Amino acid sequence: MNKFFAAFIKEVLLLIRDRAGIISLFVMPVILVFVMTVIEDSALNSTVDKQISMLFCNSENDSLGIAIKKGLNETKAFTIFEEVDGKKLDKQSLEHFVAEGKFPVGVYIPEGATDTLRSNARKVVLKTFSEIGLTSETNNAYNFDSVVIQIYYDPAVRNSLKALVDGAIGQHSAVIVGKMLSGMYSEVLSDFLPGGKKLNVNYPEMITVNRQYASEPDNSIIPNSTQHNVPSWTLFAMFFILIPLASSIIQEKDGGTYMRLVTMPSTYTTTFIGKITVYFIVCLLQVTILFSMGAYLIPYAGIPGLQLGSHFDALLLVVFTASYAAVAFGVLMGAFCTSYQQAASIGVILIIVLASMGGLWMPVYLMPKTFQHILVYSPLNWPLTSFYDLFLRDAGVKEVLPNVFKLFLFGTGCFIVAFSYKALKKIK
Amino acid sequence: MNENTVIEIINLSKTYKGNHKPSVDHISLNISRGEIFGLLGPNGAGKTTTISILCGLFAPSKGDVYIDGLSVRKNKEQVKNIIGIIPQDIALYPSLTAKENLQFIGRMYGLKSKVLKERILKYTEFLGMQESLRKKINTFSGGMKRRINLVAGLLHEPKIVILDEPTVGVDVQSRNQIVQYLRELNRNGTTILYTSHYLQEAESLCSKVAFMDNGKIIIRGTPQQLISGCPGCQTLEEVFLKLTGIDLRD
Repeated sequence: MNKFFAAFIKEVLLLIRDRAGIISLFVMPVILVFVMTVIEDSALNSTVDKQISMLFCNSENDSLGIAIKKGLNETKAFTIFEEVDGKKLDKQSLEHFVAEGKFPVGVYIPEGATDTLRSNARKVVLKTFSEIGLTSETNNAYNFDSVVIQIYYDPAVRNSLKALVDGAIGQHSAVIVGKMLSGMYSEVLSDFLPGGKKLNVNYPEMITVNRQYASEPDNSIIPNSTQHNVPSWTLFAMFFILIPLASSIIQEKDGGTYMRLVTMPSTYTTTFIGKITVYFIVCLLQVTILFSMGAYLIPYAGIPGLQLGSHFDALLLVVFTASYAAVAFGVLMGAFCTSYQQAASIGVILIIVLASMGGLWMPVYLMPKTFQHILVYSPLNWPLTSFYDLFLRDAGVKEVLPNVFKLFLFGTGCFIVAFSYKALKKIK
Repeated sequence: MNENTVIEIINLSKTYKGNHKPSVDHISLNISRGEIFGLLGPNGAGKTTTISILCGLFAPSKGDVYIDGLSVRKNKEQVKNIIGIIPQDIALYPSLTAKENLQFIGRMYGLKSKVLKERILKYTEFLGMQESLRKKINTFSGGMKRRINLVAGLLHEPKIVILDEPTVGVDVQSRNQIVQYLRELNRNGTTILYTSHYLQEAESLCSKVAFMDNGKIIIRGTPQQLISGCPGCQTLEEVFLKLTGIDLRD
């Protein structure tokens, strides 16, 4: 044990004295996580939950316009502007601002729209009653005037946004039409009631939409910037230890220290375990620092903080196995590379490729479908998916076990290959 | 094995994989207790390979080495406790201080804190390094590094010290101090096996020498025996050149 601690302390001292290593392991990831979370926040929000600026001109100021505006506000998808630069919008200015690209969308409710709608509703009711012989109105009374709600789009606007606006307006218009029709039926039917009684039909809410996240793994859930960037860049930093770790192994191998270590009565394994223990602890520290930053510091930038979920045991399991895999990968690189320069250049390229393959650079749902199939082969995707499961779906140990198992196998595979290669070289 | 023999090399050969020519070719050698034995030869002669086999770094292809009666093939771990290695490369961590390096090495040899502290003081005092104990190795001169490298191999007070070019690349003062210290060590009963290119140094230091070339021992004896046995030779260096030739070696 004394020998292990000696090796451990030696490795800690070597790491502390390596300023560039400390910067790359701790300082750079902190900056990277913060900057990437803030930068990607706006990009992700544009596809997730960022409010879209919308011009709105209600020239009639009656029920239809008010109801549509209220409905649009309730979606929380839009920020509605009824005036620009202190000037109230009219049809012309609204179209002008959208055409200039200052706003992606503008909605114009024409004058008298509600009256027209009301008139149309009355005609529908009277026509119905006439057809069943309750009234004696003539067919001439049933000419309908269509109400045109004008929506102006910036040509650069995506189809998904158009569908969202069209859907929201269509939905709230339909609600108004429904209410007007029921009101009109009540009004006309009241004429047939004895003693001047008034019929008042109030529709109950017939359909309730209940939104909740599926507890079963569901890849359609989209993380926000913090939920994506904090675990992603934390994993990137964890696997980045392969460069200092591999370099440390190579420097020991190249310098005379390896010869001294293997000719000492203690086994080289003791020194080696001391070394990898330090880097394992580095990984745990990285997670602690970066996740704490995500939870407590990121909110100061006006971005939602990282929620770690409620299954701390599952979180620890993922962090431990991801650290194990990262350290093992570093050892593998240390076994194969013959110089620091080689480890640094190959290491950087490997991490970047695996990170992009693993969905660290860009959330999975933004990747091409064909590429999404490759994700499962990146060891960086396994812990990332598990973090998503833990943070977004409140998954537990059972749900993360398959990825934990993959990480463990990957790490063990790396160690086996590294030691076999080393043993083979020794025989040579 | 003679009771006085502390290192016995028997028919030792080593051929690296992919090489046809052996680096060490059937050598046999006895080194007696309390000797300073010089293993000398040009570059590529097989000295470092021989030393590496003695330390247990490589397994021999043929033959065996007995150190204090223990086979390096069968008793590698026990042999490691008997010998102290001072490698040709500076086997120290540059970003650690001299003290931190020595503490690490001492602990790896299983020394207790108190003993380790005493030995660090003892050896560094002799080599004039006490003032520099708290300085990092990467701030040291070549001579200082060599001296700490030497101390590191002696902390566990081995019976046999194996030195591979211990004075290479150091100034005359440092070399003189190292040589003096090796003599002192030998006076206290330590057997020393030493390789060097400095034949003048070997001539004054070693009680016996062997010349190696092309993996073979070409001659052995005391420096005086070798000089007197070589007509026209005044120094060990002249004997060496006569035996190994003047052609440059890789």
